[in-house]
Amino acid sequence: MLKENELPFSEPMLRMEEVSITYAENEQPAIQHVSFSLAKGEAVLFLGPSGCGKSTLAMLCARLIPRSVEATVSGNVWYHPEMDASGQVGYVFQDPDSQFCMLTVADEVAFGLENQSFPRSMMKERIQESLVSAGILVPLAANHAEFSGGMKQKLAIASALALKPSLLILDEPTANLDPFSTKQVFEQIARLHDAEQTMIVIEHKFDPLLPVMDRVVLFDRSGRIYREGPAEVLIREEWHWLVQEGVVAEWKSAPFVNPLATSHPSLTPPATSRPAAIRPLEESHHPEREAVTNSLELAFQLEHTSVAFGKKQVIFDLSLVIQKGDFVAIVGPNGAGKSTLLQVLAGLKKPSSGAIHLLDRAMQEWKVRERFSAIAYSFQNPEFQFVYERVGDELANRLVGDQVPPHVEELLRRFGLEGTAQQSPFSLSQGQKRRLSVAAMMRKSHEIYLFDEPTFGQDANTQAGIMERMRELHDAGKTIVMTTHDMDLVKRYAQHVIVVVNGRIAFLGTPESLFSRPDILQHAHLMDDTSEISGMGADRAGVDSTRNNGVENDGADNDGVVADGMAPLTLTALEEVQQKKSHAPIRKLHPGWLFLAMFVAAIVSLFAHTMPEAFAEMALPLLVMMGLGWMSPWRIVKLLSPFLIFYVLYLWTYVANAAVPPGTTTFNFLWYHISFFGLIQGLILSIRMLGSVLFGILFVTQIDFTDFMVALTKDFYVPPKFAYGTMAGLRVVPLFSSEWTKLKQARQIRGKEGGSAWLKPITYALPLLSQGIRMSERVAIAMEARGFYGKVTESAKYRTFYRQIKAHWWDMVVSIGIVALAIVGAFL
Amino acid sequence: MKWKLRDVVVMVILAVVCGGIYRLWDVLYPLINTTWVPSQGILNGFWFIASGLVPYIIRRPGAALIAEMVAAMIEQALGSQFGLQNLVWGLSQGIGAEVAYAIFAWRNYSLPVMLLSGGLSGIGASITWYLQGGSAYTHSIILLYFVFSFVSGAVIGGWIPKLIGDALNRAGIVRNFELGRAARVQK
Repeated sequence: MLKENELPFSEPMLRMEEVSITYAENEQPAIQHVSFSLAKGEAVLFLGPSGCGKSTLAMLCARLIPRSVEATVSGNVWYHPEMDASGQVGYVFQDPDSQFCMLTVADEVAFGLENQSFPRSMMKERIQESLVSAGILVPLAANHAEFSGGMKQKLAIASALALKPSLLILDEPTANLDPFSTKQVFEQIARLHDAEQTMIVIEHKFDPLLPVMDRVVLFDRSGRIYREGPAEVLIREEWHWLVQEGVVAEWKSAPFVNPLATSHPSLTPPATSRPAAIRPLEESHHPEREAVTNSLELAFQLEHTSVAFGKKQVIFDLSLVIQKGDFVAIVGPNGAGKSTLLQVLAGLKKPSSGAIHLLDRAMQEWKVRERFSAIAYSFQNPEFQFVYERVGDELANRLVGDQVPPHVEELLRRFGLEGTAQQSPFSLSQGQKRRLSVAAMMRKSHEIYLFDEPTFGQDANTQAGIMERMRELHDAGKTIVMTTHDMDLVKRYAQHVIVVVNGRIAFLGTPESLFSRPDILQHAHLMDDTSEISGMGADRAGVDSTRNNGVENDGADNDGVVADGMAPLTLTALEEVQQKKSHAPIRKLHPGWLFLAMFVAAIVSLFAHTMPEAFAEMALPLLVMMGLGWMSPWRIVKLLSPFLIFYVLYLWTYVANAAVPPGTTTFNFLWYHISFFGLIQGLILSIRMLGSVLFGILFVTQIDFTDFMVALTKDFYVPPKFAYGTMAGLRVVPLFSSEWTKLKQARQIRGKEGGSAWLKPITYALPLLSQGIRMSERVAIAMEARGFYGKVTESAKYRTFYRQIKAHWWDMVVSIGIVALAIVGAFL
Repeated sequence: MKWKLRDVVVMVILAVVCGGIYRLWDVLYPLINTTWVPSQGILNGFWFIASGLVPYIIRRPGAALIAEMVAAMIEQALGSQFGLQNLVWGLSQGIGAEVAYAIFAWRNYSLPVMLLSGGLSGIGASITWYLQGGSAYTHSIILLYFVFSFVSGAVIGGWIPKLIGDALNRAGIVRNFELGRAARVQK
């Protein structure tokens, strides 16, 4: 092990001796007897198989353990006094969607600053500064939900940098990104290293990072540090160990010419070529052979197929054929329509136009059940596919209890799931879940296998296992189509590759021919992420002399792509903001007081009992909408129209069921007694309720939700914990609708499977809720990592606010006015 | 007993899911209502799932009330036909459920307490219903509505959330929340 004094760094940031960390629910420690220290200005890469505890140690370094994540820590831990203040550690997490808690770029970056009580007057400048240094040039008011994954990660880095942290931790920041976005993030890491930022980086695709990392720490499966040392030397010496432990896939080649590794039989990189050019050629994978045997039969035939979600078209006039027995990879940038295309192939998403043939018949002629006995489909999130509460049941596809049938045992063994038969599928590790979902697909034989990002979030061992299963299927003559970001997999396994960009096919052919077309690779954001980091050639030229000069062009082009991608986004974001910033007086009102007044008015309206009173209660919100919100009557009518049917039915219940004074004529029919009196009663109730609906519409359409939450915490004593926790939770709402769609599709595939009917709602609820609950845990930890803990979360007086929201005299006038008018109206 | 940040976020996310369910229920409600008014009381319990599920999982004072209010707000934002009065419903249902947990000092989440909390949500809802227009119906309808709401609340708003919570617990999803912790201590 390397001694500290051998490193060119002196001042330590943190030091740990003999540290072990055990999570509350586990007996086994996640980290055992680890000694580690980090010097100021040092960049350290953590490497190890999944479940080795590298994230756990990083969270201890960030002091998230034990503050936010409960765990027992033993051993000695020392932090530099500089790290005592909140916000001194910036943490960028893996999932771009679950580390934000606000809606706009400015609010997001400001959140951490607010928690440090950073003065408001200086915030804007600091926010812009950090956006520039993270290389993300977007309007402050842009809504970051519309960003690509790469942009989101850069925004997360900007949010961390705004705090000027003593230590920055990047925990698999590129796991969800396409190769191009990955490269953007890596370039950012290189720039940070040049700026002498102290960093810990956890990253599986580490090759291009090695030149900018000072030290590598290797973790083994049991949570111990196996070895540490200078990055390039250590990786060269331990490449074999990395492959053995499953940190890197066995088909990957060492990142540099490696005399040690070439002597090993499992590693045969031709020393003359770059890794990108390596393609193993094996007998069973000659495209020609397959083409001859299956040339007549087609698995899929798409003619002029277009797909739209609502008004948004995602696939444009696409025609292609996939032959039986082919192995096809669909690749392309994030959001290009890869998954949609796969769903179209499975018949899960109906095209808006065009014809699709599946095997010998048109897609629409297939019955759902037949279709899914011909096709097996694997979702990116394996949880969607689980319908049982136990692994054994899941594989047997019926309740088996303790009697696990032999064929299930066999499947468990083949997929490395021994001993899990009685566990819940949801409690398995990421890798086990994926293996289980693939095992379930293998239960029955299918003609065609479709995989949506099968290796997503998996370590090398699981990846290798899954890919080997796919190869077996392919060798048995099955057709396989998968979407992926991993160009190594494409090189190694696919016979044909379809490049999808913006819903159109940019390329269709063999992987070899694709890799000879750098123009397409670049256009489709597929520039190999194992190639060296470009764009920093100029400022880093002196640091690493081995870098060739050609890559600088790359950098320039990449910048062009960023600008292209950004232009439309910026424009729509700006337009939206301008639309929101209408000059209506309601914009200048304090949202908290306005809401309170409307709520009280809605309650008061319950006391309107005559027709004029009811009309008065409906007129009040109309007055506010048109007078203060400047909404046109036409727009109001349009917003009200969906409620029409409900109110007709509502009216009927009173016509038919109202209690009538003695002597009133009623028309009796079944158990109804229809009366004119009831009609009038119903009208009164409907009209006054419409007033409440109008207030509701006013609230939803005219009040900025972030302003509302800030107002509640600043002026209504709602603890920031509740206000910002609610913001964070609501941000997740749009994600739910897409999760729901996927879940429904997964259920369609399982068909009538899944046990008794009354259990059905639970099989729906479990995956959806488990997604939501996990996400909320991640969001909460990410917020705490940005200094949102302790008294800052208890009261608004311990933090500053970027948004300026103040109550003025006119707020009192308007609020009291609304309530007073409501009272007058109710008691005319 | 103190709320953690993750309790707040999970409360909101569960309330969002429930708010979505409530909105769907808003569509079915008038159809059922049209045939026989008290029959609507039988299905009222669907609107109290949040005030059963959230406190069962996070076990914090105020969880039932706040979750039910947030769910009502979501339902409203999704375009409910009740407008801002939705929040009045949410308030009354949430208070009803919260009373049950408060009686046992927020320490007891056994089946009887869950049933009581759902039932009291039903009473809360019935009071709002009465004020909002129920008083115009015949007496028999009003009485049946109260009774049906109580029973429906106990079953759909108390027992079913407990089933869902227990299933989540078995799956190990809520191990970092009070429900999971309590279950571990019991073992």
